[in-house]
Amino acid sequence: MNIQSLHVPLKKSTPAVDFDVDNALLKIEGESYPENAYLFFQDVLKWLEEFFAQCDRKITFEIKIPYMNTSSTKVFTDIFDMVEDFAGKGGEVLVRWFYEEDDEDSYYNGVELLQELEFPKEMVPYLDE
Amino acid sequence: MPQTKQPDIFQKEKELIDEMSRIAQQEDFEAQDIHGDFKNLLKQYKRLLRQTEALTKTSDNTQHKLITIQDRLGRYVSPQLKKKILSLKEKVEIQTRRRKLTVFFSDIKDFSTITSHMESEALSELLNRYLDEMTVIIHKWGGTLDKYIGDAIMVFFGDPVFESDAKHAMQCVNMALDMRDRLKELQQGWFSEGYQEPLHCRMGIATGYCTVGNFGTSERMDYTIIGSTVNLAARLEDACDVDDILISHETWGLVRDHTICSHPEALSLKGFTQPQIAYKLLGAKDEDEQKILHLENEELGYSIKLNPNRFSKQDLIELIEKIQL
Repeated sequence: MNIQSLHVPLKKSTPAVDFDVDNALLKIEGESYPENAYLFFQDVLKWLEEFFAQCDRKITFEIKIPYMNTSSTKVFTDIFDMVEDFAGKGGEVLVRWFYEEDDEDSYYNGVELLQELEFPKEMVPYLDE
Repeated sequence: MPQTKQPDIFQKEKELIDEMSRIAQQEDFEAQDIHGDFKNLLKQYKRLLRQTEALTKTSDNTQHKLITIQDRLGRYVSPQLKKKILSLKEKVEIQTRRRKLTVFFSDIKDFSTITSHMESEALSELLNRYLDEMTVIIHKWGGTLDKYIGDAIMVFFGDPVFESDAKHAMQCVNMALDMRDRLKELQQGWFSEGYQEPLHCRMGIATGYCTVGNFGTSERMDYTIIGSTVNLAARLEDACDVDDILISHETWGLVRDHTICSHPEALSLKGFTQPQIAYKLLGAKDEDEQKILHLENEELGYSIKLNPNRFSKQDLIELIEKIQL
């Protein structure tokens, strides 16, 4: 694939982005409440658009966001729509949503965001370190 | 975790999609020129609805979480401080100010010795029950709970909400009296539960100027008070006999018309070069007692206190006749 891996470091209000092209493993982890979510995520969305256009392997998406603001949530709905389009064209994908065990809100946020989308997904509990 | 269906706020939008889907599936629909645009519109509309639905529900979840956090915060700080923290008008920064406060300290006499033979679980339960009961009383009288220090409690009145010096002092003495009464009641319960050593409290109250506000660093702040009034309240508590409440001279000046106190005592307290005048707080006067007439004339040699609600004019005449006899 003619695309480089993408790495964005974790900051106080933005998550770490770790998109590994070689293993087709895309990870987003950390709280997400930037002042302007589209400004932060625009490079991520552009990268994903190119990646989905080129990728012919199984993609695993791992998302671990303990808190996200409404603008970030909107961006994630856009990302999942892109994933659904990819899956609709025959692409193989698995989305794993990590939620803190005993945190119902985090669990239901994942359920709300993923429930009607037509691609394989998993809800994965984790214990807060 | 089970997901239950709630009444749907997007019902109208969903009905429209169902209707559009039905039209798109009609046999002659493919023949129409607009079918491509229509299908695309429908797809985008479905996507938009799904996004709106997800956003609404995740936003509700976040608000629910916020309310839970607020509720939990209220268990760590006083209601006044919680309100101050949650108010966006107040800046969270290292900032202090001078303010006249009434400061309260209490502890359990020889708590460590009394509880030294107890298992840590039983000790925690006893201490938590005591602190829980006392905290209810602190909130009842509008005190700002500064901190628990083991079995000791530090409370102040007059910040973040300021009303009047006299009101703060009166709220504080009423709180102290309530606490003492409640501890006596708890004592009976604990004794019947097998705690043989009674717990005795000591309380000190002082009024005066303090420095109040956020101390610490921008990363870790503590909303508290410092100043000689704080030291005085702590030293009065230390100088107390068991089950007594000592109040400073300035506090006494604010509450004397509404309380019953002992004669003044001059106490030598650590950290104070001059003896400090203090009074034992014996009780609060009830409404009737506040109407007591105090007739006093040193030259003629009489000092009489009369409660007009309990002592009629005829009673007074009879008394005078008895004295003449």
